[in-house]
Amino acid sequence: MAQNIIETNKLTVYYGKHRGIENVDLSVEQGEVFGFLGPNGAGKTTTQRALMDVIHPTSGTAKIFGKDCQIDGVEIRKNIGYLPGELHLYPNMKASDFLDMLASLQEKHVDNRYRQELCSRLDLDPTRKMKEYSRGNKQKIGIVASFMSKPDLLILDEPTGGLDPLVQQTVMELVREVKADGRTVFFSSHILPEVQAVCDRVGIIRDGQLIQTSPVEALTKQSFKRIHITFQTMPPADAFTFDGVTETGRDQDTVMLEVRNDLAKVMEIAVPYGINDLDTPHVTLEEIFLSFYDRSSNGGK
Amino acid sequence: MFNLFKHELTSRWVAILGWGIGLTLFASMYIGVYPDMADEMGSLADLSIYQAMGIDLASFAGFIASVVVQILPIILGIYVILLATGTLVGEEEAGTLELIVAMPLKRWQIVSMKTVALLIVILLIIIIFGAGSAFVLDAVTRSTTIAIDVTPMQLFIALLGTYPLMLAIFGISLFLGAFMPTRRSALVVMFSFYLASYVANSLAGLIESMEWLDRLSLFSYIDTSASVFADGLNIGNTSFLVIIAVVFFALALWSFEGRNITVGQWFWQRKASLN
Repeated sequence: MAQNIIETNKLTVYYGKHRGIENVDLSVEQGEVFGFLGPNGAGKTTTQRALMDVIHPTSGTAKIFGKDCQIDGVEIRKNIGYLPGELHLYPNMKASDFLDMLASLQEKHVDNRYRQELCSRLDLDPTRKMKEYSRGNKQKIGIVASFMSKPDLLILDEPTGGLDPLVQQTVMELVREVKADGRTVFFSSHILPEVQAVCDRVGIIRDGQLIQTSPVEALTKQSFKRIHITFQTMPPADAFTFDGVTETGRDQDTVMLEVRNDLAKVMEIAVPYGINDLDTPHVTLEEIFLSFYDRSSNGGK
Repeated sequence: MFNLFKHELTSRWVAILGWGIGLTLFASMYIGVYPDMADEMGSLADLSIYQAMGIDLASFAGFIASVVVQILPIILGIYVILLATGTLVGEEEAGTLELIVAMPLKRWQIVSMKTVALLIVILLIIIIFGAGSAFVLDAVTRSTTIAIDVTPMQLFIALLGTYPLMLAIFGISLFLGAFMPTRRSALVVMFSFYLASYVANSLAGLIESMEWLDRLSLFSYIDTSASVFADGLNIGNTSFLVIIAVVFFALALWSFEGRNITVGQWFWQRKASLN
C-alpha cells in the first residue's frame, strides 16, 4: 500500500463564526495526482492554505510526509512546491531575481538547467520586471517557482488559470512528468479535460465539507452529456421522457437534455422533427461529480 | 534567506535617496535662511505658536535643534510608520506575503529579516540626511558673519540620535501591522498615537500644569533643545526608546506567529467559535 503524503483528520478552519472548512478527512497517496474540485467559496483554497500553514486550523490535524503541518511546517515546506490561487508578485522585481530569491528560500538545490528548461517550455522570458508581464506570464512565473526545485509534493491552486491552451498543455505535461518521477501533485481545477487527463483521483468539496473522493475513471463512467437541440418543429413535452435522459428545459424552438445513455434513441426521436442546430455545452467535472453525488444521496435514482 | 533581506533593502533604494536628499534640502533651507534673518526670527521667539510647536527661534543652535532635529525627523517618522505597517499587513493585503510564508521559513525569521533590512533603510536615510545637513551647515558657517556655535559633527551626531526614536516608532508600527486586521486600521491607530504624542509633547512644554504629559510622549525622549549639541545623547532616554522598540518587536513576533495570513482577523477571531 502506498504511503499517504497528505493526510487530514477532521481538519476544520473557522474564520470567526464563518465556516472555512469542516471536518475534512483527506488522504493523498505518494505518486498520485489528486484533483480537488468545488465551487467558489467551498473551501478549496482554505484547505490548501491550511496544508501550507499559511492559516492555522481551528481543530483537527493536517499531516504531510507523516509530519504535522503546524509543528513541522518548516521541514515539510522544504519539499513542497506551492502555487497560490491568487498569485501576486513584487511589481518592481525582475522575474529572474524573484526566482533566485525563492530558490534560496526553498533551501533545496535548484538545478538551473531545469529552471531554464521550464522557462523555455513555458515560453517565459524571466529578464523583465514583473509589472511588465501579463496575467498569463505571471502565472508562468508561479509555475516555474513551484516546479523548479523538483519538490516531492506540488500543491497547485488552479495552475492553468490565465494560460493559453498551448501552455495549459505544457503544464499538464509537467504534471505528468512529476507523476512519472513518483512525486505527488495536489491541485484544484475546474477544467474537465485537464483533470481527466492527469488525475488519478478526484475529491470534491462543497460548503466546506469533503463530499466524496473517487477515482476519475469511476466518475467519468457516471458522466452525462448536455445536448441542446434546436428544432424546426418542436416535439411534444414527453418526447424525451425515458430512462437515461432528463429534459432540463425548453424554450420556443430548443430542447435541453442531459443524456446518460442511449444517445442513439435521442437522435432517432429528434430527427423526424427537423434539427436546425445541435449544441453540446461543456460539462464540468464538478457538475458530473455533483450529479453523481446527488444521485448517490437519493439512493441512486 | 539573504535574498529576502537583499530584496527588502534594494527595492527601497529610491526611497533611501529620495528621503535622504529631500530631508537634506529642507534642512538646507532652514539652515541657510537663519543667518540672514536672525534678528527677525529672534523677535518672533516669544510667539506662543512657535513655542507650542517646540520651535526655538532665539538662537541659531536652538533653531536648528528644534527644526532640523525635531520637525524633520517627525516627518521621517511618517515614512517609518508607512514602512513598518506596509511590510506585514501591507504585503498581506497586496498578496505577496502568502508565497513568502509558504517558504520553509519560521515566521520569526521572516519578521526579523524584514525588520533588519528596514532598519538599515531608515539608518541610511538618517545618515544621508545627517551628512547632508552637516555639509550644508559647514558651508553656511564658512560664509556667514554671525556666530554659529554648532559644529557640523555635532549636528550629524544629534541627527543620528533621533534613530532610537525611529526604532520605537518602527517597533510600535510593526506590532500594529502584525496585530491589526487591516493596514488601514493599523495606520489609523498609529497616526492617532503619533499625533497625540506630538501634541502631548508640545502642551507639556507650553503649559506647566501639563508637564506630566511629557513622559507619555515618545518625542520627549529625544532632546530637541540647543543643549543637544553640547550634551550629546541621553543614555537613559535612548535606552528607553530602544526598550520600547524591542518590546514591541517581540509583540509583533508573537502576533505574527498566530496570524492567519490572507484572512485579516482581529486576534480574538483567530480562536474560532464553532457555535
